[in-house]
Amino acid sequence: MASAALATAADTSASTVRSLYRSLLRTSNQFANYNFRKYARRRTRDAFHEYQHEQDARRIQELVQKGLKELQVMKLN
Amino acid sequence: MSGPASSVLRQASRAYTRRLSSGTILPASHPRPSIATSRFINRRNYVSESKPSAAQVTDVQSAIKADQKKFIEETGNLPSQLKIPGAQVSADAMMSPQAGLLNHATIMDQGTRPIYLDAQATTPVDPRVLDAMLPFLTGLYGNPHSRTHAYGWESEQAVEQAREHIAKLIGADPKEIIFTSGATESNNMSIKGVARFFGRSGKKKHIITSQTEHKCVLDSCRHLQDEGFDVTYLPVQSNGLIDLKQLEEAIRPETALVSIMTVNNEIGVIQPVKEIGQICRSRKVYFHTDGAQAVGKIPIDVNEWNVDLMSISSHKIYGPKGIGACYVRRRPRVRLDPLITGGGQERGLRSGTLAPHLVVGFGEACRIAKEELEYDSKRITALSQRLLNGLLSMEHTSQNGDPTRHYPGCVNVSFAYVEGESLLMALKDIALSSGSACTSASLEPSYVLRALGNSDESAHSSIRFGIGRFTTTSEIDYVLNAVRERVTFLRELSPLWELVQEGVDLNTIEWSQH
Repeated sequence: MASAALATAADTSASTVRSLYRSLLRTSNQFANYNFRKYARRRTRDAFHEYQHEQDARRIQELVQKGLKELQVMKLN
Repeated sequence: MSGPASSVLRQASRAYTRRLSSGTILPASHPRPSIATSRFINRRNYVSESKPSAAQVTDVQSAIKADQKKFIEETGNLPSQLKIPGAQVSADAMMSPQAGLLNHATIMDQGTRPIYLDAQATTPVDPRVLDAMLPFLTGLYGNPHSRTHAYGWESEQAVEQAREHIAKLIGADPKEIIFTSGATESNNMSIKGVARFFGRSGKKKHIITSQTEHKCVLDSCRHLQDEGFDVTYLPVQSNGLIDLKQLEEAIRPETALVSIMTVNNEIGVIQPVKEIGQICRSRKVYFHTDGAQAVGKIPIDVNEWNVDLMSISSHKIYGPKGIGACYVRRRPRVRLDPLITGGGQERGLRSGTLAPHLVVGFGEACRIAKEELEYDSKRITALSQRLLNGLLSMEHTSQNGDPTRHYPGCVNVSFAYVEGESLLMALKDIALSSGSACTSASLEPSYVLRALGNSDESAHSSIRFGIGRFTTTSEIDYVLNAVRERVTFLRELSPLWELVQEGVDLNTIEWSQH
């Protein structure tokens, strides 16, 4: 269901990816539970740093989709 | 209300309704009721009608505050300090669940709840898992076994997808996954099921297990002993691993099943499952392994390991409690007697309607576990190294279990000359355990540590630290600091510690008998 809304190709320009990163971090801070909050922040940071130098356009598209999905989950929680 | 007055009112209202329904007005023929009616109407008009928006409390926060104020005036106590008798909730939560929950959240936020370091007992539900579960607790309520309508189909589809995720995590076929209520039921089903099926002919009446198994495996075996089965409890070496040669010698022609757990729940050692699987396959004995602590934490492949039956638990891998699974091999087929019979769900091995929300949560937990396996294990290893190095740098501490064949998330350390239970009491701000949660109520030393050959004192002074996905580095640092501080404090109190500091070997002392 969540993925259906995101099925269309997402914008993968540097600025939108940065904005996704920022909103993921911002939403991470909204967890009341300390452990979840820290995990969300850490996982977001590590994932973005891991794929910092990714060149493959398709892979980037996949990763951005994944990030959007995670963002949606966090916003619902 | 008094008799005559009420009868007047009744009459009046009857007249009123009749007038409303018939539309005709009865004139002076009934003078008294009409007077009463007019008085009644007047009284009604006396209180002005409130608008619907004004009648509802829109500001929840101020309503809660008003509630609390009233409560304090009546009882003189703060609601949060008062416990409702019979229920273990504060009056705060009882009065307004939202206020109670908010209170709860802030407590968690301020860190006044203990640090959770008991990942072997259970783990919190991952928010992503909860997100997958929610639709099945609200809109999608169909019975997954209903084949006649769409409600059933959508539930069934979700269940099958979850089954696939679980199968993928352990390298199995989705059809080989049987959902149960948890790893305990899976263990019971596997051991009793296989033993009863093959024991019926009277030829295969022997089971092999190890001394460090989980209580539910040992208890199932004890029950089978009462039914006339022969059980061999293999001893373990001092590092917690079983001796393969001993296992090979213990297998007899009438052996039906070997049950050895993959990762021990108390000391975290990883048994040589692959080698055991090979031995069992070559001797044509079924091999069951309790993988509750291993699945989702170490890479598992049931075909590579030659495992015939495997127990899996959901709540150890950030899934919901109350569900687990049992892997039952199809080729070569493992025959077993079902514990629960009925509608024939789950290949007839475990009847009963599935709980789609739990199954979906379990499946999602497995999917995440597979995806995050590398990241999590890297992180848990680093945290575990940090903790272990810090703890072992203290004097007279030792790690229990094999240091290399070891799941890093489970750190079991003995602090000599300190009573484990008193250390746990001193470490109130950290949620720890001295052994498995099932036995944490008793003061008996852990049977697992005794099986390793540890002395009673050493077994009593052991503490298990469980590191999970949500443990942070600062928590580990806090724990290290706290443990160091309190262990030193408790040792200062101990007369034994004084003797040790003076260089007296405690084994040479002859304690006087009472």
